[in-house]
Amino acid sequence: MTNRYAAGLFILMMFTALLTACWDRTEMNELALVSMVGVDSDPESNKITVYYQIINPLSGTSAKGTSGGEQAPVYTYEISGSSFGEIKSTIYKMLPRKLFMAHCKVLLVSQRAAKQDMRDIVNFIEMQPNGRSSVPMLIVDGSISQVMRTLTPLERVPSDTIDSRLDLLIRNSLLVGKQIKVSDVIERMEKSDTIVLPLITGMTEAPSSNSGERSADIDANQNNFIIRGGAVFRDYRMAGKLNDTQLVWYHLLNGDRGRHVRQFQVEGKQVSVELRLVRIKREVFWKSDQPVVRIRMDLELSTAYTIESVPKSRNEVERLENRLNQIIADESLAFYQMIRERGWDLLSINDLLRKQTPNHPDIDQAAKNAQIEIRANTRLLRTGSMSQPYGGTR
Amino acid sequence: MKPMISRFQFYLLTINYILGTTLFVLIGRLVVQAGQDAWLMPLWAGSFGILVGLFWIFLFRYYPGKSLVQIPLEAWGRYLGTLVSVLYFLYFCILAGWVLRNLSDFLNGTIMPETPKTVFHVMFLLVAFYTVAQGTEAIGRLNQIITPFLFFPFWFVLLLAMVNWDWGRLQPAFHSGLGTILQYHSFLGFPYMETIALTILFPLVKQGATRPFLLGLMTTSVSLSMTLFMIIGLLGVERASQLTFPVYTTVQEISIGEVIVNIHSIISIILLILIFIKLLVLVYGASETLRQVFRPKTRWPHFLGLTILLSATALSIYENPIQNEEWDEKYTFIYDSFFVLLIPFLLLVTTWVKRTFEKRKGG
Repeated sequence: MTNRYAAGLFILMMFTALLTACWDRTEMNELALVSMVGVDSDPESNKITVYYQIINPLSGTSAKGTSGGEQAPVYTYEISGSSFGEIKSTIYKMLPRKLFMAHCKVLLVSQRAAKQDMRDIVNFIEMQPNGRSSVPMLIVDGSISQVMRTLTPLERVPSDTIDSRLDLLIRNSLLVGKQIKVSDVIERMEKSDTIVLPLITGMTEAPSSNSGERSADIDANQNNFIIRGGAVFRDYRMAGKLNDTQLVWYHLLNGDRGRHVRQFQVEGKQVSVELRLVRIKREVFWKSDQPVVRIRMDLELSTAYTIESVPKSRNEVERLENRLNQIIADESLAFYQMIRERGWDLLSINDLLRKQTPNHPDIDQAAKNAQIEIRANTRLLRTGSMSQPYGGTR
Repeated sequence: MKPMISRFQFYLLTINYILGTTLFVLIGRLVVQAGQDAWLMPLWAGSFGILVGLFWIFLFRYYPGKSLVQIPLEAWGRYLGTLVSVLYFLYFCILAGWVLRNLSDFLNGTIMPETPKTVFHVMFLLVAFYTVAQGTEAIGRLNQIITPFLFFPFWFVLLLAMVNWDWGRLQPAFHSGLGTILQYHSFLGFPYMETIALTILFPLVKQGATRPFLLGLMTTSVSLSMTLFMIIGLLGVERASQLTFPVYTTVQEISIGEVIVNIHSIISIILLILIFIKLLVLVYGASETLRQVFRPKTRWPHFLGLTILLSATALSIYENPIQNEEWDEKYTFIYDSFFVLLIPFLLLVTTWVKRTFEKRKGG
């Protein structure tokens, strides 16, 4: 009996000694929670600079009576090195806490690094066991160090503001698409697709990291940044830019469903109409060894934001719809011609052909020669809360 | 030997044993092999597994109530029989070492990079031997109780990941040549041929193990196929083929609103338990072989010895996952064939010769 108790006790002691969690414990107070990462690389010296924006735990939520509430909500650490691995080791020259990447929300890449090669950057993100590839990736148009050091109004943590702006833009406009995550970049680049990532720009020349100054400034356009335009990527390299108008056609033709309000010229008058894609169908058929891609879009229209003139009769509605069908088809086609001239396969025609005719000997060439037919079918389904805008007594 | 586990328990045990390490060791490699058609691979490999299973069942029909390690003793006599049984013992030990090492690789590579490998090995072995000491019934019941807690969370978590689904990732379908799929013979070895460890339990299944075993093989193949289908639809061929643990990454990427993020620990726990079940069967096989062949009076010295042996095997079986992959791709099938096809085949031939000889003698 005694032996049994002794054995039992021994085993119990063994269990306590071998509690595996002790090796890998993560104390909150010892972690540096990274909220945003910025990457820059100098093509001349091949030097990489990484900016880690780390959440300040003492800011904002601190207890009454402590001075923490006035501190900056985040701190940006800047560290340079010749490789990402090296940076990970040398960051501790400056950082007193263990780098924790699992909660990182946004990845920013400088334009010059994007133009050089992004392979190392995405590999670095994907390789880390606790990193996440499901974070959005944005390209910084201008100075990355300025954007990384800008505090934003309304949301205390800049990564939250970017995250939520992207979310709102995806839903309420056709300026940003859904496939902008690091994982999307990897997947699409590996398939040799061409993609577009949002661009972010700093709004002022003089950055301010002083939260006191920020809180005393009412002008939200000052010391802020803006998401504007798109960067085109091919084979992990930035190949060019799209402006906001081109982005609308790009996202529409790729099936993004954000509601976007745009002003059109109909019968000599300006009309603001909200567009929303309901259905998109892309078919391929072959006409004398040349592929023809037929894109058919069904769009829902709303005149909720039309303050110029709301159509009054069925005839007028039809005329508006027909005119818009024509404009959308023409402008989309013009957009396609533009990207074709530049050699960008932004409509993933290559991928479409690869799926439909996997045995074709030269898909790249076929995609280049592809003819495009675009048809839009719009239907006015919603109107605003006014049947006719106020016009006064004129 | 008295039958102790029910058919249903054995059915579940077969499923969890095969899923064991497969879910995280093999998924990426299958996608490399067959691209978007990788989900077809478990179906044909499973058919092969069933054929091999039928072959063993055929052999077992000649020796009712005997286990895999007792058959050589009866067919080939004490000396040669013991030698073959010891070979099986070593085979089970090596497989167990392998499973342990896969486990510590996974844990070191994902959530616990600092913890020494031996700690995982020894901790898992202690629990496994404790369960084995409780007997066959305990293994069957444990697995039965635990299965719903593996099945439902696993599919629930994968369904949560459906926000990232894209049908386009599975196209063009049926495009990989049959040749590339069939070339990948190591998939037959691991995990299908390793199911031979389950035959130790054959005599212990009430009303016979044939049906639950074959049904288990079928269910697992369908389940693996569905998992692969989902992984490709969620991650895409390009990423799934490059990642070390695609299932883990899929779950890691789930983020639904601000609430459901970082739920990959669920999948870690499920994978750990599945590996534990596989380890349990192998450890049971090894200790039961020793018991049936050498009939010791006390078993705990064996358990202690096996713990030391297996934890050492796990640590030294390969140096890095790259070696593991190379071994698996080049030699698994041949290595497994020796134990799984050749020895049972020789046993069958001996049995036939013996029976014919006896009949003639009797006649």
